[in-house]
Amino acid sequence: MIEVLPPTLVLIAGGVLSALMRGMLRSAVVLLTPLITLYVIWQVPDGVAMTAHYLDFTSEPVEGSPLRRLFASIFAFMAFVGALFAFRHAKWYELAAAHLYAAGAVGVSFAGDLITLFVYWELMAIFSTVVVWCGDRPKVHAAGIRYAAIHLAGGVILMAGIEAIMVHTGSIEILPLALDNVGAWLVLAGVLLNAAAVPISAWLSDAYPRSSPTGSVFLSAFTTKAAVLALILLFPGAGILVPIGLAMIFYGIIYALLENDVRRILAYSIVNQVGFMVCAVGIGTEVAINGAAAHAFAHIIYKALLFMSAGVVIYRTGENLCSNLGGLYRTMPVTAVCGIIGALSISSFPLTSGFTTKSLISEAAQLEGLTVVYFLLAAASAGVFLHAGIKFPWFVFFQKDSGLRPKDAPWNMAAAMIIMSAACILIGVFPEPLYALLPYPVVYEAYTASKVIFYLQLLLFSGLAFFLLLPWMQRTLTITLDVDWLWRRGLARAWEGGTRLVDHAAARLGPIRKRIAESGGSTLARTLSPSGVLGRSWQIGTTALWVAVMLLAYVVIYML
Amino acid sequence: MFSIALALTVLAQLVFPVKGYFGVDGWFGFGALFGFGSCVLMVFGAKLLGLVLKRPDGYYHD
Repeated sequence: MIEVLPPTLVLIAGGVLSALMRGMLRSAVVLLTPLITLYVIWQVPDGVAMTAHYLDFTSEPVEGSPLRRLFASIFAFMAFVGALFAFRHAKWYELAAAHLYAAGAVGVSFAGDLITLFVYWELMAIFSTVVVWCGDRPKVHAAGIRYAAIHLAGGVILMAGIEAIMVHTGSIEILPLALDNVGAWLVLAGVLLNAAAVPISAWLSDAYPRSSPTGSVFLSAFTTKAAVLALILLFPGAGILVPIGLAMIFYGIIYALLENDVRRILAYSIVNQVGFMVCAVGIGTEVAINGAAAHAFAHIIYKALLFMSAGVVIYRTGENLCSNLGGLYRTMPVTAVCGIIGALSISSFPLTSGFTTKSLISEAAQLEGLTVVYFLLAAASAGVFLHAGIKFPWFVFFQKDSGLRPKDAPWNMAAAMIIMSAACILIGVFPEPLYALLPYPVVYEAYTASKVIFYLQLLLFSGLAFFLLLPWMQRTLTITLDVDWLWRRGLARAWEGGTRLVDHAAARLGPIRKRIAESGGSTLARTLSPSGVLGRSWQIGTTALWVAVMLLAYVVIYML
Repeated sequence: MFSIALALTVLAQLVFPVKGYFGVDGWFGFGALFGFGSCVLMVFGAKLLGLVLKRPDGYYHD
């Protein structure tokens, strides 16, 4: 049954076609494909719009719902603005891969069954790896392999979970799963891995900052947010997601505070922001799910904007360390202003998209009476302003005069940043159209004097803390170890340690073994030689006596 | 100018009372104190963690 053209096919076709074209024609394909996809997305009706048979199962490659259309729309919009940002500077295969990567995300959005979900999940894994590999060689090579290994391992875990669920329930439909069987837990683990949940978050800050200045814009948008959608569809209200989300939030802040690489700061803040969404899915009420969806929508826009701003800086200066940048506002006013708008949005400053979306999550925690969660989220909002809201623009565009005088963004990059900045402010000032697209009805007033004053106090005094603690915030030429140390160094160390231990033991045991062999050898020789106890012939009487003793022992043991 | 903005956000509370959901968050200047305090804590926390986990830039490439 086919009622509608699958939107993801449009992106796949566009991606393949763009690889075959040259010049203007390729640019046209790259820019138009996401817009056509956006149109097709809005033709998908609610409910299952396409079925197919696979093995003994009925697969549902396209299933529509307001939530699914919302995520698919923002993915397609992102593919368009990302393409506008990148099409004059990125390699042709990066653009093609970015479209196929976006196709994976749109496919996940409409997946009505777990097998379809898995197929598009892997499409994302493969083509996001290609996008990562378009970065600066040779450093990106190893990072890309680590990225691919983690995601392929995650795919295996997800597949194992899906198969267990197929065996357990006989159904592959995407429905909320109860965490009462190993299959559901494996699916949760596979999805959380793509959401960069702690403790396996390091792949994100390892790979994304090494991609090209244009590639990181695409990478910031799709994988983690598709995982958030999967969490909403499969595990709404799973209590364990609340502490996991909170851990991600504070992990992101602390690591970003220690970081020197501009894009790695932004990468850590992806983990931080996705933490808010994961926490909201864990709370699981209608307000919370609305909050997670709205925040994902707004986050894709401002995070892409921040990566664009950082991307322009890296494209123009070739520098990616805070300690080498500063004072760029002089010659890059457009990039600076757009970067600041992105930074204010991520900090949920009033009149920006972060304020109207993230506050829904706090509202959900408050309505559920989750006092600790509410105050931790408030503290985290202050922390976001600290690590991304001020730190990013301050160190890049102000701070000191680095002596760099780069040109401002090329026209297409500037246009992409201005579109995203406008979207941040529009959602911040007029949130109602976005609220209307959310899965549940919204009864929420974002702008009350009470809320605005509370957030302004919270954020401005975080700013005060930033400037008072500035001597402590100065960046050093360092990296911060993460869990990936275990496989980047730990495994090798364990192997070396193990072999050294074996060698050491062999050296120590050598003489002992020799002594045992010698003494054992002589004992054996004494016992078994023709004249030894077991070697020589015995008298009949002695033999009979031993047989009797043996029998007696046997009877005694048997009786016991 | 920044300090004036800081003072204004707190003083604004006299005109528009902040509705606290859990009691303490309605107190005068709570948002300011909470924002400042949690940031100081996070920076100290990061500093402590940095003592243990920071490595030179080329750690993985040497």
